[in-house]
Amino acid sequence: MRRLRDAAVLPATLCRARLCYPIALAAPTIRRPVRGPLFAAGIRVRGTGLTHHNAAAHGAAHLGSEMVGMGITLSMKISRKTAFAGRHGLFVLAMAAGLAGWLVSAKAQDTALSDPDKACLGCHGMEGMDKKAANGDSIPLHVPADIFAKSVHTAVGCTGCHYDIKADAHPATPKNITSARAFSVETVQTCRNCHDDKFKEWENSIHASLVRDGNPAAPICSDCHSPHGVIKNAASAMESVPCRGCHSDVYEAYAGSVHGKLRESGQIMAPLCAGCHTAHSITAANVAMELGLKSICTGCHADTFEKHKTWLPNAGLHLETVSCAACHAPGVPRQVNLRLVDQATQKRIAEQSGVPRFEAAARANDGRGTGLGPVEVWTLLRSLERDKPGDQTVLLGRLEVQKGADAHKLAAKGKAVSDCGTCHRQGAEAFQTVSLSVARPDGRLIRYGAQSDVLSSIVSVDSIKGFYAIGATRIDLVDYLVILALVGGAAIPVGHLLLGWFVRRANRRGAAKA
Amino acid sequence: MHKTYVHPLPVRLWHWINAVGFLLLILTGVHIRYVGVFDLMSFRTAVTLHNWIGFVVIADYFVWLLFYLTSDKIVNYVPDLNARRLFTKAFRQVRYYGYGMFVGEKDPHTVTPYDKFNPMQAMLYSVVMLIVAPIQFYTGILLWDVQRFSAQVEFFGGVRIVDTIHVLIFAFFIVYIFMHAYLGALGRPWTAHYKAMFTGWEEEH
Repeated sequence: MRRLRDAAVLPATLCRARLCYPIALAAPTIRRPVRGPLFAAGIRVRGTGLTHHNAAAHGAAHLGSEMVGMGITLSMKISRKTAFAGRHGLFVLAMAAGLAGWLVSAKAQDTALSDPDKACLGCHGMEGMDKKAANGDSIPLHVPADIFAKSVHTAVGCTGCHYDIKADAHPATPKNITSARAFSVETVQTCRNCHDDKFKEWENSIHASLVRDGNPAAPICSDCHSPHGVIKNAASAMESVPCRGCHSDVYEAYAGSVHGKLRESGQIMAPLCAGCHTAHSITAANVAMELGLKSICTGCHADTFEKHKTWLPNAGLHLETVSCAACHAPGVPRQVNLRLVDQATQKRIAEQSGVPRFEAAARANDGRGTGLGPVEVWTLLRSLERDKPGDQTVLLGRLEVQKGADAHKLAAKGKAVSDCGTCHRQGAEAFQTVSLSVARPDGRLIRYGAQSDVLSSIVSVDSIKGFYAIGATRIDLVDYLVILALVGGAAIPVGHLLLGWFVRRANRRGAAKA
Repeated sequence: MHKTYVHPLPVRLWHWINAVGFLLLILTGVHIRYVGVFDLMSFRTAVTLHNWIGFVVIADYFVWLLFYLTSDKIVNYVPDLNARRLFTKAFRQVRYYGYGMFVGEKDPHTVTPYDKFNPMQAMLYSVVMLIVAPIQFYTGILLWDVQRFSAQVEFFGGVRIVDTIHVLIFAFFIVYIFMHAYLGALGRPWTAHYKAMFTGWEEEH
């Protein structure tokens, strides 16, 4: 990285451009007359008073010239008239600008900034500098020098990323920028040059998938890592973790959780967002859960199975079919997610890109529009199988929390649901909300609502083979048979005693008649 | 009075352990399936007891099985393949239970160590001991640790089907126990068969 900075060509490219080419070459001293655009504009700058390429002088020199013409504005404007004030005036201007530049970039000068970077910040360090995109978006060109000075990117310097800036075309060459977002998405490719591994992880993430889908809120590198202010371990502090920008509801849930409270108290072993979700290869939550988010939980809580086994019957099955949060985030609404799975491969049915069929088939079977009933679920599965002969589609159920944010409201162990009767009873809250789901190509779920009685219908013996919670999803018809058995069992002795009474009475009457 | 030794000690032990075990399995099973309806114990206690008692009953079954496999009294469970004879005897027995016993007729079946069961008992016990009970034990073991036996659970069509079979057999045993306890009380005096099941000696008056 250091080598990159040393090789930075900013003075030779950027500042050699039009305005202060000799000034740019001036580090540490400039003793040459200036001949550049300012000269062309009738300005003769003799920089004899400058001892080095002062950022403010550089910025001041730009003021009132092409930058305004390019649509770049500065909050501090110095008129062309002032620039024409002659040598004396220019000297004053240079001194004033030098002072201003020092104020703007004092910290930068004192810290890790290289001279070329200071040169860039001569202009870009000025607050309010921005550019208008074609759609009217404002693209900030202001880089706070003090923030940049603290950034790890000082190691590469401005041109480490902005290598496309041509010495003879900056800042006069206007770029055709349609929108701030388009510019960001295009520019983000730059990050790949140094962070190829992370970039590839991001490319396979749900975030990148959303970007490809055109979602304007989906994050690219610069949305999480302020490119000019990126510092080490920013994502490991609660107050600066970038995820909270979009996922504020999740963050709030997390902050109140046992993890968040521990983290806040200084327990750095307690996970922050990336501790579970990873920083860049983030998948849709349900995919993460299937692929091993739970194993990430058990990565820290290594004795999960052993501990559950000491008190929880069928502990392995519970850990497989119940999300951690369903018990460890007590009080949050839960639901049953019936995932369509190919029975042969045990892989979940994924909606093919461009050929959606699940939602249409579900809607076609849901005649009343009130959610799929037991028979409708059965016919839906058969209709999906007809589309792909040879496949057998089954439903594997999973108990989880309804809202993703709620999955982060993890409580201390002692507060987790441990009363089996919470779920294993008829009418339990957890089984009242039911949906069927398939996965989109990027892993996100497509859900379709079902009626809760799909879990307790005799028809479901065939269609929902893989999900059954004793007590809660028991089949009504079997209950009637149990009642019948009870009544029938009690009726046998009673019936036989009655029979005996009638037989004996009839026999006595017969004997009496005889 | 004529006394016949028809219930050897292993059979008596098996029978009473099985009887108590069945009652406890029904009690705990009801608590498992109908949480909140009955409130004698918690779900978890019910499951734990149900599992342990289940294993005791299964082990007890092997006491019965081992005894008969090593005894010539196994003939009691060898079915009569002569359908005509079987039907005739069964009809006589039904007539006795439906009419004869109320008018003082003698039981058409005489209990001996090698012919313990009347034809209806023989049919029922064979089915119960060789088919129904083993299925109940097997489905119970699958439900005890669904994940461990997931391949077999899948083979039978999933946990929902396995549990449904288990509950249907439970319903059958409810009827069976009512009937068994009642028919056991039809001796003369009514405690005779119960007493025989403790002492081993069946008394014929």
